Amino acid sequence: MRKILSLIAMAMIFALHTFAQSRVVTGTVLDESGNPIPNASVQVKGSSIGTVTDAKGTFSFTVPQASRAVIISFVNYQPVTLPLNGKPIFVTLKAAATNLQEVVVVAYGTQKKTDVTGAISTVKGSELENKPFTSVDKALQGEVAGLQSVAASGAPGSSQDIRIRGIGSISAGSSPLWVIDGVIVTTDDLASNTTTSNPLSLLNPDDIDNISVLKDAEAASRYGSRAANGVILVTTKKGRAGKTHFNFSTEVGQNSFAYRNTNNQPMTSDQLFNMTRIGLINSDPTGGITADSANSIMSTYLLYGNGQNTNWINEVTRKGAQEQYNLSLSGGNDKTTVYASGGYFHQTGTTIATDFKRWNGDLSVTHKAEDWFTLNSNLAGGFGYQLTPSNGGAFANPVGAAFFLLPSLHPYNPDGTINYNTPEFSPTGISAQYNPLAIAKLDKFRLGQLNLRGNVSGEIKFLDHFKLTSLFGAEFLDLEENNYNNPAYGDGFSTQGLAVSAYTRVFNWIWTNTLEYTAALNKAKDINIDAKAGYESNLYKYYNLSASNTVLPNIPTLTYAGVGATPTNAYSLPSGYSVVSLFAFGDLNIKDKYIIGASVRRDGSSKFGENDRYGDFYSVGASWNVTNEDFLKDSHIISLLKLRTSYGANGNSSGIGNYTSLATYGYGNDPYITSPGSFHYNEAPGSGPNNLGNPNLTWEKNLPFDAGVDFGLLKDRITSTVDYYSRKTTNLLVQVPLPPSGGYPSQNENIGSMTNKGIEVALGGTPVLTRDFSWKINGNFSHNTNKVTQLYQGQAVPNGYFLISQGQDIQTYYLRQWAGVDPSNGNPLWYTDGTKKATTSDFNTAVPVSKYSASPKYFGSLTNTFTYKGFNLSFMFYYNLGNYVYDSWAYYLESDGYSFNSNELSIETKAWQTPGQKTNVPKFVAYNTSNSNGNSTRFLYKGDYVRLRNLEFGYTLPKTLTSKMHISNLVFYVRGTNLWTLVKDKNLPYDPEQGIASTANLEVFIPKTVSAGLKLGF
Amino acid sequence: MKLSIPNTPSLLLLAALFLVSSCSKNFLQSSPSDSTSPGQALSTESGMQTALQGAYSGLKSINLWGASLPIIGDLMADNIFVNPNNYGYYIPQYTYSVTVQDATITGTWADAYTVILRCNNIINDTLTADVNVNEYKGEALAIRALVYFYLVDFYAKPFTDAPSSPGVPLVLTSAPYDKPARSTVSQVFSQIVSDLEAADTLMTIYTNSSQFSHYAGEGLLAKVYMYMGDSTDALPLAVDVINSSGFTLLAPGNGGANYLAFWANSTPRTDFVETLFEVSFDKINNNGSNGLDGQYSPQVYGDLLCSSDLVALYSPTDVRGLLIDGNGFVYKYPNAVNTQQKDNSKVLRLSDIYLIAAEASVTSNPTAAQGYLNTLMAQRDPSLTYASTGSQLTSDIIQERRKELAFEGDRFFDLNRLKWPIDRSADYAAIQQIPYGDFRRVAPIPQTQTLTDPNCVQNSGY
Repeated sequence: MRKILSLIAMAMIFALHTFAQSRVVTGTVLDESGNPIPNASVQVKGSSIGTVTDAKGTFSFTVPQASRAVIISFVNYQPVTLPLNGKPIFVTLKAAATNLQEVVVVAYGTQKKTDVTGAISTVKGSELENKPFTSVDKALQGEVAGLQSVAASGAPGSSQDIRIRGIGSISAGSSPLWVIDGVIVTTDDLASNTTTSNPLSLLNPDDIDNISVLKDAEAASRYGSRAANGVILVTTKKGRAGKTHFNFSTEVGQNSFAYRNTNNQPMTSDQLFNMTRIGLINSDPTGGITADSANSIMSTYLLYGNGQNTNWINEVTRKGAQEQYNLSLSGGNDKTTVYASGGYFHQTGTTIATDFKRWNGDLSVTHKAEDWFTLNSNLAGGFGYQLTPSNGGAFANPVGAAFFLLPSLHPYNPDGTINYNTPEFSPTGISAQYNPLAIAKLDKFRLGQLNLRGNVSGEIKFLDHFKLTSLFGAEFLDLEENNYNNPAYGDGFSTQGLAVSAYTRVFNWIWTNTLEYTAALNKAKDINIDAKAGYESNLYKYYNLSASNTVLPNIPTLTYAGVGATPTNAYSLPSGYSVVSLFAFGDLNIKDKYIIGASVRRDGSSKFGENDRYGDFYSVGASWNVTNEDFLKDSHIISLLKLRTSYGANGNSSGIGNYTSLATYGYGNDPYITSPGSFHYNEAPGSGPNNLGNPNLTWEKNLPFDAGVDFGLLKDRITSTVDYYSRKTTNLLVQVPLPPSGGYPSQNENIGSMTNKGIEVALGGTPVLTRDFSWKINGNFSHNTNKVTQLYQGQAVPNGYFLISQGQDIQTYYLRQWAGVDPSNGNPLWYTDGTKKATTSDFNTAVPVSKYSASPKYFGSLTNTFTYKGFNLSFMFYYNLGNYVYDSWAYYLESDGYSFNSNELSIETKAWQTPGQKTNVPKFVAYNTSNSNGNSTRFLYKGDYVRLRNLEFGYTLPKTLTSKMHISNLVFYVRGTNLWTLVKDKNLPYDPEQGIASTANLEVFIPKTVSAGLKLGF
Repeated sequence: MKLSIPNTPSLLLLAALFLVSSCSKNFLQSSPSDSTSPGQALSTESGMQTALQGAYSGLKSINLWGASLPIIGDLMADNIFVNPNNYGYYIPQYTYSVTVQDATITGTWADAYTVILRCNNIINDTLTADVNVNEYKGEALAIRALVYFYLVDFYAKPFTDAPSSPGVPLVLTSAPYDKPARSTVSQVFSQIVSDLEAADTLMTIYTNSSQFSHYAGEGLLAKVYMYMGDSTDALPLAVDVINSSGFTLLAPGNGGANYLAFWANSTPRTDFVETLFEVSFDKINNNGSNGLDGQYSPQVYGDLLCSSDLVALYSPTDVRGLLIDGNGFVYKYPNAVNTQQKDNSKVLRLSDIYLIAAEASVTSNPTAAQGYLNTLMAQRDPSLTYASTGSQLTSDIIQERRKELAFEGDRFFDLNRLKWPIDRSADYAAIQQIPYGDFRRVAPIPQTQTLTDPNCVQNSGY
């Protein structure tokens, strides 16, 4: 009996004890946006006791008293371990795989940041979205060390020059390869009759999740024959599992032109007539022209004395409008995720007759049909509509008009109508150059573009270690250009109107099949290999159609070739090329300390000669994660130290004609006879040799070496990446002159070579980091030295204002050296040669010298970001130092009197007038024949500048407030771009940013914008 | 750990992917849509005809008969001078300051050899001979002879002075990489003669005045013989053209109306009037403002004016004087601003043959010489009847050549083959006397040839 009682007692005590030794744990699990995560797993650490969260993200379950901690996890989020302290648990899970610190998009896949061996720079989508630039390549300026992004024109929708690690080719393309979601996309300006266009202007930067810039062999050679100039990988946003999340953003503002040099701009009427009077008097040394006779000449030919002083720059510029709206949604569950977006962007340019509108849509679906099979698909479209005026010396160029037109001309008639076909503005009137207001109103230069890009890919995982991926992607791009010159005035006058239309279509598809093998090679599983083998084929098809018609009715609404009476041109022609590739990559990770990567790739391209159609490319790279070594593992100071190096071979085939290797007879355009232009005779078809062909034509080859260090100090309070690179390009295409007696002027042969060497430094630091306030600094610095090392028989090749010669930078100017003005007589002086020992006033005696480059020595950016509670202030300065800009129109605009019927720049007011006067502007003489306005370093300006590229000040509403409003985030901000520009050379009349070749060509002014925006997430 | 084994459909897909991926040879073949291989281009009769049109088309070059050759032939002599208010064209030729880098002489040389290459490909083609193929080859031979004729006259000393001096490289095949030496002047002329003799046998079809024909070939050969100083061989050919070709001289018409209409109309002729061969331009294929018409027309450039001593040579009854106005502007090419037609460049006219016949008969048969000359005068200036003989007759004939063929690029080459001095009127500001023997009467070989072809020696003086 006693035994039973004690047993019962023991059982009861045990039961009580058990009851006393368990407790209830409750909590809530949310994601970063404050949304609850249902079905998240909550598990007691070290035990199998667990539960899942409910639809509201809350959980409540009983755990043993001895339980110390719970692990909370959900797919795609980083698991969190929390101690049990009796209080309810409130936890925010952070997304795992998309944490950019951890994973980097690389060639044909992704890699953990610690495993990356190549020189890769990444830019987050948040750096690029909502900016007021018309294309993402413009937003890349200053973002990546070693990447130079320069605008030639500020026209909305204009192209942008991108060079990674210097200029890599002499006569072929030097722009990098762009790949969007595995699809190689077209980024060339394909327009036939439009001043500038850019296929990237149809990509909505808001759809970009991140960009990886592959700079060295290890990173880029995996793209083989097209990687020589670097590769830019764009990954668009994909859906995220969880509650469907909406994002709305808008930015509205104004733009005006960024830089104006009041020190040297078109003269006012008073200034012009004073100088012209002096010039006329000086033009007759016998004193035959007096001030009065000069006045009379000026009043007849230049409208002197009419009291008008037009500021033509003001007439052709305006405050432009700027607006964009974007709406996106992202959602899904652990099987299917979706991302969809739509957007609208509109920018009217700083100059009249410029405009750019874009509509975008994007849909991306990922479906994990089975554990081992995932399907991805993406479809993105952009439609753009653009109005762009002429540039350079065209009479219809409004920017040219701003500089050339006499200030005494009236833009409007007294009755308020635009002044044209009057004694002032007409072919035989005072000004043969057109009134830009008339051209903006009457003529049309329209470009419509459509870009569709899609891809479908399937991933099959099998046998634990294998993954087979097949991706099929395609891009469709079409350009419709419709230009109209009215019959009454302007370029259309001589043909009674002109309507020219061109239709260009590009279709390119790519099919990549990859087999990946990942496995541990040893028992300890600390030596891992990731190997890939694959096959890729790519077909590019191009088609161009153009038609033009003249003799049009003079009705302003009838502006297409369909109404013309006399057709003058009909043309259509397709073209294309294809590439096939086989590749194999391997990455070996030894204990996370030593990483070795290697790749081989064999490409065949239809562009190349039969004898040299296939090429082999390779790379080897190694990196050492020193901080994973025992001796540095626990360092308090050094949080990251990684040494990397790589070498390899990759190629360039851009800018090489599709059929240059073939010997052919042509039936259309005659490329060899000086003029007229075709083989036809007497309105009957004719043919003739039109290409010599070269069966040995092949890729330009690039051999880049890179050595880099990534380091972080004090728990990554300070981080930096430093790279030294040296890349040698060989097999550069050079026109080899042939004896003209053979009937062909030249042959394209792969014989040139060039080197680019430099340093890139990216530095980031957080000087102040407190709970409420932080100050981050980010900067990058690039320095590149280019040298042409081999040309055909060492012969220098003239190229515009440059002379490409062995031993020199490819963009070295070849100009007579200006030596100022002789104080005794006001004559121009040039140095006779490069030794600068003697000067001469005879232009033909002075010898041009190779000196000064259009490429900057140093460029980069410095960004400061301050955050205080919900406020955020960030500003980026972009700097560009060491290059020189040439004014290609100075021959007319600083001509010291040579150009009698047009205006000149105000620096002319400093012209020499009295003996002994020291000035840099020679004597002003009407119809000046001294050649003082000839090409020389007189018109070469220092291109050094610093620009406040981006300034952003915003306020993010606190989470407490936004969760009450049932939205996840709300940000208000104001932004300015190109707000302030400091230019070293006080006489440079134009914006210092004038394209890669630094040649000022009277392009639409680069804009500065001020805008306000908001971002709403719900 | 779950073991993932794909099911059968996926395995098949995998296999299919690798099989399909292995087709690549054809995938990399790509050809342009506006061109064919040279072999294909010349493999049929119609292809050969198209290639022949391409050879003619080359003659339209602005540096050949498009402008430069007809202009230089008068400008470097004493017929035309550059308007002081000019656009800067042909100044080095006008002032006798041509360098080896001059754009005009470089372009003329290059374009001439481009046309020669097109002719060589046709001549050397192995298509089976028949009437058409022979005609095409014949015309190609004639074009090649014409181009070599002008090349050797322009870039080398006259045959009548130094036949064994360097001529021009003789390129008779397609050989783009060859570095030929200059054949002698006499070797070049031999080739020209043999080309024209072969051409005359092969050409049996007459198309129109814009293409070579049998009698145009004969006429050209007569001219070539005159340039060789060989009246004996020139005369029978010239006479044959005059008597048997069926061509008639241009008649002046009422008050010269017919004469002016002839020069204003540039549709290729089939009526056998005057033009034996001309290079034809149409409203689509022409040189725009830079053509012969644009250079002369005061409505376009108006850069070229008739010299005062030439104006003075035309008597009041000379119908040819109607082409020149009081300010010296020349209206032989009046279609500069006509959108429907553009002027042609005359290469060989019947009047030229009459003058050749006259010049060739001066010593052997002076009466016949006067006859040919006066037959032409009857159609040009009724007040003129020549009765001179000997060297005076030759002088008169050469003067009539100057008046008849003015503005067609003949005068400079005439003065060179005769080794006469060039005496220009006071209109010529820069330089007026260029005696024979001045090295500048021979153009320099362009630097583009001498730098790439060390076997090609430069002319002395340059």
